[in-house]
Amino acid sequence: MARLRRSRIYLPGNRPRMIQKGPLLGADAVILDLEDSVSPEEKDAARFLVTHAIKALNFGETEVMVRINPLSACGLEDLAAVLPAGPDAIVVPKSENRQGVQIVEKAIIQSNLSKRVAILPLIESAKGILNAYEIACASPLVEAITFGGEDFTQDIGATRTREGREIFWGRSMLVIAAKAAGVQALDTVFSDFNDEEGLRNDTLAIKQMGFDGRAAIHPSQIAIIHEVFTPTEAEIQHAVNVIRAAEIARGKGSGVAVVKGKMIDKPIIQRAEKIIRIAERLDLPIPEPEA
Amino acid sequence: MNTKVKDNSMALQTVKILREAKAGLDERGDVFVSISPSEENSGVQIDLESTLMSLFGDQIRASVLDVIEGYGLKDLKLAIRDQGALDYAIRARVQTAIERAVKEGE
Repeated sequence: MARLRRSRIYLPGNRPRMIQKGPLLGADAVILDLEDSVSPEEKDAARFLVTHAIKALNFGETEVMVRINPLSACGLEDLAAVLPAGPDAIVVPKSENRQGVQIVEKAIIQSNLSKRVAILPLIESAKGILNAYEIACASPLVEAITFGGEDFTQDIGATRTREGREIFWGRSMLVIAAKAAGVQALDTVFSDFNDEEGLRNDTLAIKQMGFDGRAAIHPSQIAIIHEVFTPTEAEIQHAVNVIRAAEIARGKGSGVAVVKGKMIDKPIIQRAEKIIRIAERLDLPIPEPEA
Repeated sequence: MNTKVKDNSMALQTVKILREAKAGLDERGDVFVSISPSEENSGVQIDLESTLMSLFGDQIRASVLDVIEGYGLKDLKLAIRDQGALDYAIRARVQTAIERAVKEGE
């Protein structure tokens, strides 16, 4: 099963105090950012700081991602600096086609690391969304494709709203492309970090759409995102009941099971198995099936 | 916490401080480093101020010297104002200042 990526928080790559808070925030992943949060004249400094931080700090279970600059800017220099430190994943901004992903893949392979480094293309333009499936399939190292709502909105000439109607189609396309390619779909940030209700509703909506997680721009957002993406006790109980009913049906040579008056078929069983896998990953209690 | 800077690209070449350069931010958890050339055979001169001088002064100095040694630098002046930076950040800022100071043609 792929890593759990309910939340990933952006941390400016040139700010030591914020970087070293990373392991303590409880997010599933930190994104040490070399791109938008670093001014052009500080790119070299951030590169050294992030490289040393990855080598020296103990991030524990937290996945360490690095967002490099676009390959058309100094992305390759970023890769050359940070890859030897062994990050867990590289976030590739402004991804628009398979070639960009493959350049990053080549750099990872050539760095000869003993660990796997995942590629997470960040899709944030109209062209990128239209090529989302191609991007998701570009390398076996792609484990998720991620959506950048702010840049996308600007690219299509729309205005960003709380409701997010302007990004609905882009989000849908990204989820469908990700799932067709067998990778995770990860959503954009919710920019207003004072609006907890807005974040919760938006996150419930994207979970419903099929997203596996979303980005955070403020530590206070992590708990809300986790709350939405963590299975509830009732969901886990139902999943256990579904799997048990399916086992019983299989034992009887039947392909059809029923739980609480509803027919259980393959997609429902698969969804239940996914919930149990997430619950196990999070060490949540798994109850006995109900009679 | 110690990461030796043995893998930097300049380490095996003879490098020289060509100009004044600065690195780091003037804020808590960071360290501001200013480096400048000095006369031949004048050695490494470090002027260190730290909010944690009595506790970590020696350790900071050792980390700074380790980075300088990694580059094989002999003569330079370093002014360091530390505001409680961790070891990795000190090493990164010193490295940044050196890389900026040894670059030609800027």
